[in-house]
Amino acid sequence: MAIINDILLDGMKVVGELFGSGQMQLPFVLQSAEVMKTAVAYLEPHMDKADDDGGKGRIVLATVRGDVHDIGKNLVDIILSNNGYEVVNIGIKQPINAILDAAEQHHADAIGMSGLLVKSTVIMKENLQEMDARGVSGRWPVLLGGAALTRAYVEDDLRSMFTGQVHYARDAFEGLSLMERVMAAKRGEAPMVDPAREAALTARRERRERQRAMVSQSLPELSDDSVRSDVATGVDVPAPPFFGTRVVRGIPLADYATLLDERATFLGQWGLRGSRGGGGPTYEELVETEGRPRLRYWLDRLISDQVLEAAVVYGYFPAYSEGNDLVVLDENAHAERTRFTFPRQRQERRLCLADFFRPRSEGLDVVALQLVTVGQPISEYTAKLFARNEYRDYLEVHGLSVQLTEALAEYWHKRVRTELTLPGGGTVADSDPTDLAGLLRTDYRGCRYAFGYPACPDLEDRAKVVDLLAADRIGVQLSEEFQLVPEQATDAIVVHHPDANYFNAK
Amino acid sequence: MPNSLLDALADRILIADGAMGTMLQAADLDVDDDFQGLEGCNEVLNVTRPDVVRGVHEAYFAAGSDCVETNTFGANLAALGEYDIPHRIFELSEAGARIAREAADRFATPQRPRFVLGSIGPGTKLPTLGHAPYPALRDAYQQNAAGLIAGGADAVIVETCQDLLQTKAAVVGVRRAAAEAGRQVPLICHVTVETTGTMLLGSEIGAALTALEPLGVDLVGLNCATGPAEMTEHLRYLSQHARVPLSVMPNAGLPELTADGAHYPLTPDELAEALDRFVNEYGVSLIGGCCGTTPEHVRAVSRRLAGSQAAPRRPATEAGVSSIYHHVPFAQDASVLMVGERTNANGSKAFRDAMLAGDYQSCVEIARGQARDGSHLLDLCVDYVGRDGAQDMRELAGRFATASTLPIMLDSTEPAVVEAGLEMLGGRCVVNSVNFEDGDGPGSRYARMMPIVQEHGAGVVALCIDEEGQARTAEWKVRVASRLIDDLTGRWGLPVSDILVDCLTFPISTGQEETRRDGIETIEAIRRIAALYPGVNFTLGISNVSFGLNAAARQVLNSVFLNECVEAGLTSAIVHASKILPMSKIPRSSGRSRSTWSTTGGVRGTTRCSGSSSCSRASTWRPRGPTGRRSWPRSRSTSGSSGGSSTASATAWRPTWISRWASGRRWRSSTTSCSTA
Repeated sequence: MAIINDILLDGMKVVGELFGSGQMQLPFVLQSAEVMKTAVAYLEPHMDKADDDGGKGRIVLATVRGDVHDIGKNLVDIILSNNGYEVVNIGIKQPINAILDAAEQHHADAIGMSGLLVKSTVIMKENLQEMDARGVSGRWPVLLGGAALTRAYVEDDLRSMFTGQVHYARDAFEGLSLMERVMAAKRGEAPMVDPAREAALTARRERRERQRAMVSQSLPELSDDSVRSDVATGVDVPAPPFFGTRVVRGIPLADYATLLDERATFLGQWGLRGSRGGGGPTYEELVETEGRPRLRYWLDRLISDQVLEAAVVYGYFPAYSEGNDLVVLDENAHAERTRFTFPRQRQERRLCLADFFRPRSEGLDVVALQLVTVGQPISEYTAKLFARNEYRDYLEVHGLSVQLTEALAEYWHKRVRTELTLPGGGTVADSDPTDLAGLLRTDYRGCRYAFGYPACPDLEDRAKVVDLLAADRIGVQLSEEFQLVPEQATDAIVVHHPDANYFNAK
Repeated sequence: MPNSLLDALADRILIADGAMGTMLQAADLDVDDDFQGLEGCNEVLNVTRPDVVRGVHEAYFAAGSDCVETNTFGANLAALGEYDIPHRIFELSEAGARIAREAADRFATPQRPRFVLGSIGPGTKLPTLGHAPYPALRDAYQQNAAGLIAGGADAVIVETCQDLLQTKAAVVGVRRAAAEAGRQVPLICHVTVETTGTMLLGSEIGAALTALEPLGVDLVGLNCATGPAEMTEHLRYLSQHARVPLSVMPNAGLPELTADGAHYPLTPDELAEALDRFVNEYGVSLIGGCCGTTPEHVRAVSRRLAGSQAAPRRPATEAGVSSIYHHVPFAQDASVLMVGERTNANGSKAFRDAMLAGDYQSCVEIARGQARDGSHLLDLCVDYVGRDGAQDMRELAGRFATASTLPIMLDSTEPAVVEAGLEMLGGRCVVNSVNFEDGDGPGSRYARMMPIVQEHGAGVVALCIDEEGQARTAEWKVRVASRLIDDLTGRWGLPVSDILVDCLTFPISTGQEETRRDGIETIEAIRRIAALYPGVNFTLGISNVSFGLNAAARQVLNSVFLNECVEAGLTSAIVHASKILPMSKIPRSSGRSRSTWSTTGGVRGTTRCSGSSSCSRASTWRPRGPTGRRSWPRSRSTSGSSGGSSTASATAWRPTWISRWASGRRWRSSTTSCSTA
């Protein structure tokens, strides 16, 4: 125990400090955690039973109901468990019942909830309300983390409605420091919450509320369709090669991997941030020494392990707009197949996705839908890496698989543009940029919108796409919370209108 | 004798038949009498119930088939071996072909000849996974083909291939049988792409095409596993890249499992519509059906397509090699193909020690490390005094075949060692090397190596060595290279792009006066040969140039030498890719090495690049076209080499050839940097 507490945990503390100060990158933190894990496993047989008391504290971790993303939660697990805490990781899509049961059963000191989706932030709020309703708010401090959360949302909105303690963890190491404070407070050393800071927060929150209410009242509803934006009308409608849907498999990795967004992979997924201060490596140096060699290694490895099964299902449909609706017809343009209702901006240009399509009175337009995946096997492959405590590999393969899915979507979107023939000859792809940076900036004609993003936030619309394309043909299912399973899948509505670009409908 | 099948295909599309097995199952057959107790062995019926088999052929001819496939799908070592009758391969093959021949002759008219396609199925063994040795499979396929030819088949169709090494064994077996019979037998080769989008062992369609075309197949295509819908993307690839005509025989859709067994959902009209699209969009010339297709399907196809012509194609071929996983082009655009040198028992102590200890896993890790470091190909050399080279080669090539995606350059002067490697590798390899050290007469190494190279459809490294020894001067190198290239293309029929000329590297670091010009002679030879033989490829063992220097000096000298050779036209290099420095990273203080280089052999010093289009300190990385390798503008000066500004940051610049993972990911930046930057 002395070796663990005095030497190994001290080492992890240094790792945490280096990460916090920007001098160490995430892959190396995870490698350190692998070392820690291996060392502890080696020492475990030599420890007394009495030492096995749950360590410094115990937390129940879960990804909330309806959310399948587990990388963030698992990173917290890795960091906490390799810093001496006991982590009860109960997995993804966990309803509040299961979380509370686990906390009860394991005598947890805290609860951690994670989720990547915007929707998960709402679920977290409901979970806190439920804890209040059951009168168990006081028993467990709650730690929240996830990509869609903001500090203000947790510390202003949630804290104001919750009678217990709720804290925001920006990353795994803030989770660690929160856990340390939870345990310190429990031992009576220092309170978790500073009353002066709380008061300031409350004041700020009230100001913001008043402002929000004022703005809100003066604006039209998102569903208001009494106006149309200034999006050009009478744009040429390109002809697709077919109406209906097709399944495509066997897209060579070399073709779609050329569209990999390296920066999103290395920086966003792998955490290869250039060192802040000191003489550490820059981002560019990290790309050269770590990023690209590891990328080449993994691409070679993932192919020879046969875990990439790129597949696409896509289709072209006759369509027209009707107010805020996009009406999609069957392939013979006889009957309405489905209808999407999109929100319209409440101010500025008053954009609505439907505006990029011709109204019925001007004739039929065409919409393309696509859904791509790099397959189920890669999901299982990453899960195995996590189970084997190969943390760095886990982070890298997971991140790469997500970005390869994006690259495949980009690749197929390009194919769709080459297939859409303009009335005057040529294709929609003729105005494509000639470099990758241009593609990633969407400097091509038209735009690709994935559901859940600001222009089409309604996740339930995804069910219509999955149904229209019969996505089960490529092994993609829809969860009850409208998530695509496997996680390495993404859908989109492809718009050919030259004015189409990303916008926020709010 | 001109073969009328290929003549007919040049004129119009041909329609083959549908499934055989399901038709036989429908017949009332007795296990003991008809199957000779070998239940399920359909080939036995060729002897016991020729009337039933003939009836199936006649049903298809009557429905409109131009060709039928013989009932010999299982007449191979693996399948007949399971019935303990492998000695009957020839007999059952010949009998099957004869029945089909009789049926065809009955339906043939002068206006409409009917053809017999001798069917060769895959069997149940996957040699890449070590299920069966290649030579045994090849020899049995040869008997299979010999029987089909003797029985009167117009062509042989190697079909339902799942493993590229098994495919090669079958194709080579057919070629040997045809040669023995003294006949030109058209060879159709079909691979089977699973619903996963690759062949069973993970091969992309590009890998298959690259591996199969040089073996001398006359048509290439797809059959089985899926319906036509799932084949589209692969056919699209073949349509865009295959030199030879295309053939396709899909299942009647993806089977749905029902209480009565597999049900194939595609109706005759739906199949006809799909095939129509393949003929008219992708230019497929030979069409037919596989599992679940019936005479009714053929009737619909014939009604819709008989007499049609395949849409014209303009394939863009791309010389290269392949692993069992994917295609790797020789031309790395504005870059050079990097051949990893660490998997060499003579060049790497770590590799040699692991090999000698039988620690093959460590050898595999070294190979994977080469992929990580940016190699596109692996030079595999097991030659070591006192070892059984062929055995070492089998052990390592067999493992590398599946453990890495990099194609293999088999590095040995021993024909037996090279052949051992080729018999383990289903992808297309490069043989390193041939030369004229002991001439090209009978019994010379060259004369013994080339039949192996040719039979396996490999590319070849041609070393500038002749009877006089290693060519030292540019003039001598050019003379030997010309002789090699002329013989390889003339006598052995290799396309010039499949030849990688090695102009030889000598250490220039010995201090001896006579070695001072060795570097410049090599560079000059590359330039002249590239001009004489457009499209020829090169390779060169770079590191030898700096033999004897300290590690830091070697790195600088190797990098500068490589840079100069690439400028002269070098297309591939055997190097440790991650040890190559971009010119911009070689500091001015070691610039002395470069000026030393200029006086010892460096040609153009540092002024070469100023203002020219080859000067490019481009700092931006550009991918190749997302729709493949051809859609992007190819010129190397497009990537931001805007007139030689020297503002690009040194850190942003990376030489493309070392920083890119294997084959397909091909970025365009320049190969050189302005050395005055």
